[in-house]
Amino acid sequence: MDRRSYPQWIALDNAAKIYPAARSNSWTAVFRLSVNLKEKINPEILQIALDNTLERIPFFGYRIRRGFFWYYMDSQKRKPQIQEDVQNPCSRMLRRSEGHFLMRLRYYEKRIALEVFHSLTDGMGALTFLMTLVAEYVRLTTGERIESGGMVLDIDEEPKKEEWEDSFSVYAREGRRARKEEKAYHPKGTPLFPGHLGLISGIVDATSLKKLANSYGAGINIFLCAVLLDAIRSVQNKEKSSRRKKVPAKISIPQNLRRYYPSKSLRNFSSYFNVSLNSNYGEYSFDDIIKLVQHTAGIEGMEPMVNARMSTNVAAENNRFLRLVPLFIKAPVLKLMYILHGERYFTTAISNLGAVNIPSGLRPYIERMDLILGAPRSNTFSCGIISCNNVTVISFSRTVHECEVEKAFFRKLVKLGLHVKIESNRRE
Amino acid sequence: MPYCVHCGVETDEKSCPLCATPIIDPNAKEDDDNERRFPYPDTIDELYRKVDMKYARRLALIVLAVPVLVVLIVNLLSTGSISWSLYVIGALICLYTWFLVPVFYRFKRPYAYLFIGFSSLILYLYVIARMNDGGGWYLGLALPIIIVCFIVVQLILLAMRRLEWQPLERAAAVTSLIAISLIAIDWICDAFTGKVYLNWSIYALLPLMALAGVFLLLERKKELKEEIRKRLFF
Repeated sequence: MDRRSYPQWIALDNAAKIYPAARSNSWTAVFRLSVNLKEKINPEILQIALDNTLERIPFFGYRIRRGFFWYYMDSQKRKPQIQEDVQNPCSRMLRRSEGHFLMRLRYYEKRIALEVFHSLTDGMGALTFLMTLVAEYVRLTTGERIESGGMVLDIDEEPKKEEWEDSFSVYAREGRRARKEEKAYHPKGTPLFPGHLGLISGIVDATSLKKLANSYGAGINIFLCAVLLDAIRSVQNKEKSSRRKKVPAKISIPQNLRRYYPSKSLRNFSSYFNVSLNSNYGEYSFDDIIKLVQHTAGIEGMEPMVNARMSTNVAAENNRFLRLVPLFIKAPVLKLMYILHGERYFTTAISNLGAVNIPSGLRPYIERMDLILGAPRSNTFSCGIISCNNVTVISFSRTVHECEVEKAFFRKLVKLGLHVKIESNRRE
Repeated sequence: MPYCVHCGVETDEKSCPLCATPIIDPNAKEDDDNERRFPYPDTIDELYRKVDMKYARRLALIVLAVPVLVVLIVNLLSTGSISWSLYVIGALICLYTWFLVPVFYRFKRPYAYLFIGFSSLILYLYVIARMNDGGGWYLGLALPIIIVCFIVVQLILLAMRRLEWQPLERAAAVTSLIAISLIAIDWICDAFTGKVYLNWSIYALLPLMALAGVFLLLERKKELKEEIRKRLFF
């Protein structure tokens, strides 16, 4: 496809619209995917690999601009420059000094890290970009051409129209679901300095984890969600206030909608559902929690349920009155709505990108991968999980000093017989 | 492979990232500490101290715009013209300039806030005077009193910010300025009624000026000042 026939601007998709309006200095709506290679990173070659990957997936080099009614993504001649990594990842995006890009690529020792503003894409889109970039980097450093497949796109191919499609509007139907939910429990803590993110990553063997999860009749995702709910519950039980003990602990689990629809879009195409554990009803055993997560995921994972939730959001976006309100009025109202309701209905988000599907030729070069979710706005922590080359990394990011849930989570895994190695970004 | 004795997790750090328990490896050599590589570099990306003022300003404007629009529409529908709604709109603008401008906008010196606040008050009273055919009281009474108050408040602010003055000297200046402003207000009121005859302001002026004198005296007489401080110690 000719570069000129590639769209010069793209309207934000349904999920992307809230982020530019609601973001702030402390809530950046940025997430990060990183890959640890086996050799130290060469910055010059990495920059060339980035430039080449942007030729294949050009909209990753776009910037966000304000229209009269909505934000939109606009092409620009400048190209993003790679940066050295920092101690506090997922900081504010769209800076003038960085050229207003919606992504940044960082490197440190053997690690390549892609930080993405959520308006640009979701985890799967970012993963595809990063793995394509890593394959190109490996080709440039070793001369070995990695065959495309899985999350790696053919770098020589032209960009395809379906890759920048807004799949929400394509697959949404008429049926809608009410969004009313119960307020969730939110652990409190001493805030870290604004802009700083506390990170704790647990590295576990993927095969052992799978075996352990299967012994409870669950998959890795269900099992880890249950461990997290159990950890939150144990922290909640220590609360002094009886009122706070009664509020349900809820976790938000993202769903990759590409599993349901034949979408090839590299932009946002994911939804979520919440699992609620109400301690008010009595004590739940760990097996009960697994069943709770499993059955909720089973119901919420049915296509009609998924579509109805997605269609509700699309219908709200298509509301004529809302569309006609100018952005300078709409943006603060959207922000206020997010502050009041955005994270009110879940205690934390747990995002599992699963085992990354990469070509066998790329495997020998990769050590492990990490997924870090940026600072939540009002919640205190979030959790990102990713598996690659038989290594699963569970990363908690938090905005407070205390890490009680993380402690309970990893202690539970150790108690269940799993070997866990812990890393953090703190300085002693 | 060092482990935390409480959490049971392996870690290369000196203390457990989860519970801060020191990690003791009896076999560790001194060089190990230097060779230890952190998973993240030392560099910290820019951190923010600022409140998102731009957003707060915009939100406050929208919140104020809602009652403004509502009263405008109701006024237009009920009377066919813009009349009484101007009272509400003017009051909201005054509230914005008095209370929200100082919070949302940062000027180097505070005099600008006073200027904006008094200006909005002058304009608001002008609108009320125009709507009620009250040019007389506005020009003869309201406007001069506001101007006097504006000048006095600016001077008080100036005196209080003169940090090279001693606190009691500043107190004397403020007391004197208040006394002078009372005289000016009394004179304006008299002039409005047609006969200048200073009355109540004299009774206020004398004790205030005496108080200012006491402040200055105390500042000069260090021993007396110390004695009073001793007696009034709490």
